[in-house]
Amino acid sequence: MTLVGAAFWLAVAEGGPDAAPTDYTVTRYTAEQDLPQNSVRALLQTRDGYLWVGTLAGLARFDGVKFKVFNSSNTPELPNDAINALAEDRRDGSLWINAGKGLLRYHGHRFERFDEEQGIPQPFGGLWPAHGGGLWYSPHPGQLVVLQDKSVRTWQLRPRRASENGDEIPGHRILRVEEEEGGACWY
Amino acid sequence: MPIGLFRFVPETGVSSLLSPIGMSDSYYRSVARQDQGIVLLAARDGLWRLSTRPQTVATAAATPDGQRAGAEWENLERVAPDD
Repeated sequence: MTLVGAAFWLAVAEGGPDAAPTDYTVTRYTAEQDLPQNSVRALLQTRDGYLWVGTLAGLARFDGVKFKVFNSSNTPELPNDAINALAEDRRDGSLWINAGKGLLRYHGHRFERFDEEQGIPQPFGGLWPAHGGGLWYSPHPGQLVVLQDKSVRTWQLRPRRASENGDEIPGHRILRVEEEEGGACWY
Repeated sequence: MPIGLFRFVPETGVSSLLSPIGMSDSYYRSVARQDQGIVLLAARDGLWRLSTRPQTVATAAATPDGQRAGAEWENLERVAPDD
């Protein structure tokens, strides 16, 4: 998903939840208001109230007034400036970041890299919080990973459907994962 | 795009296909699971709602690997193939 600029619902003037859309105030934020770039690829509000905006030119934290920008020039842990996906850890509220071939966690005002050298496969697209903390993600089509406490479990989801000529269709790209309380996942 | 909506049980490694049987094309665009347990599936041929309670689905989904789970879907909006 790519949004051009970011329009945030800031205030309901009057009328409560049944109010017509015209009663809302829309404020548009772009690079002119210090957003790193106008192509927004990820948007997430963490439990501490900050709104995180992932762009192709870095990660921005919005406090309701101004943006603080994190990019590869001021944050050495960021492998590049393209932010593809964000998720909040359900256990401790950490921010998980897919920064184009780089998985990071922001917690306690510091970034931490989780890389291949540690045996952690890198996410291809989205990040989805796991119930007990940590993340679900897919490093390759047809592959599902859960990362918890730096421990990784990987499943190769075998193709389940046959094509017209009887060949199995290769593992498909996983767009979204939803975990039930019992641990089962929808994808 | 995904080739269908699946339910996966990590303990067993089993995936069960949940996509609506009446869906003309098993590819879907998006799935949303709401707080009340309602599942909405946006597919090429329209919008579907899972009408079975999640607990029922969980039981029905415990089928052998690769079999279609017994989820019941309601077609809320149908889109013509050439639309």
